[in-house]
Amino acid sequence: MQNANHQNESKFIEALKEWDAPEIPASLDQRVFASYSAHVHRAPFWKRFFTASIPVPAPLVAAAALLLLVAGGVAWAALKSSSVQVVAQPAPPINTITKTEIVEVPVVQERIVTRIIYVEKKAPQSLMAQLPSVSQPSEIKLASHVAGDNAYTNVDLSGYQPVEEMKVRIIKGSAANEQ
Amino acid sequence: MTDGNLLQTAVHGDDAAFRVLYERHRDAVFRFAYRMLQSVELAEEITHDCFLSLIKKPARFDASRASLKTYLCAAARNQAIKHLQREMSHEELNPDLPISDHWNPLKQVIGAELSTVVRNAIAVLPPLQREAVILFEYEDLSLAEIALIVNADVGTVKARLHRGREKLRQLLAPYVKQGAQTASPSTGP
Repeated sequence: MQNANHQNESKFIEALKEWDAPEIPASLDQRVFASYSAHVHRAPFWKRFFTASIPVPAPLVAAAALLLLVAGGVAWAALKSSSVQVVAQPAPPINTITKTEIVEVPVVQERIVTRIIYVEKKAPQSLMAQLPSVSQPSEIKLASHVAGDNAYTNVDLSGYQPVEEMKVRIIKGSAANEQ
Repeated sequence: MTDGNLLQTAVHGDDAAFRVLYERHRDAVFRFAYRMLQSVELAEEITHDCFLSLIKKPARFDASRASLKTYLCAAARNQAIKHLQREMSHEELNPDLPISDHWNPLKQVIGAELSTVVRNAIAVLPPLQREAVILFEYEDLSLAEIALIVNADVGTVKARLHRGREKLRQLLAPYVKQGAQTASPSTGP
């Protein structure tokens, strides 16, 4: 039984080995070595930059060349016409007299200074005269006494000055208003 | 000269060192990629990219962790899986799915050579089982090396390999018993 299993296993493995992988194509070796060389032996960036080439379609190149030619022709014609205009007749000599005169110009520098000054102001003499004189309070001696049914008041009129003009005002009244 | 030394020399522009390195590992990478995708063009593309990536980023290879063959196979495996993911859905990548009858190419190749039958049988396997079988049976790598390549633990690899071999055994049973080069299935008792 064990021998039979072993035989089956051997046959199974033999059957598996029947399947071989195909030969490696030669193109693979070439591709791998080319990629390796391109990676390892790669030129420095500045060298690749200056030797780089870009494929451009031929019609595009032809169009660009034509455009360049036309632009060159137009530029040439413009340059030629402008060169004719530039050649002008020499201008007549002009005698120019140059006179130098020195003129002094006064420079006024104004400066505004603001100051506030407080001044004691005296009233004029005429106005002082018009003002009423302030006299010393008169010492009017008042005394009163009662004698019998009558009351008397003694008045000292020394220094009294009567008014120059008297205006009398009479107020009408009745007994009812009297007190 | 070790792979690590050759790589360092090749990176600095030594064509001969690169040639030695390339010819040393080219076949394994190409075969693995071809058996995974079953396309010469794709295998060529993947082999090219793996070696170019090695030269462009040599620091990614750690000689103390794995051999250069393992590293290159891992790089090829990642590209192959990416390609398969683009082609099939996530469910189809699942290794535990049973193989449906309408996927079985064996019915179409009755009478063909055994190599074609084996090829079609391996193509039927889910990719994660397929890579385990290919690396173990065809590249003679150990389970530990395969685990490094597929970024899985050894137990997972062992399980995938076991399931893949069992499925292959079932698919190839009619042809293996006969033991002939022509792949006519045995008619049975």
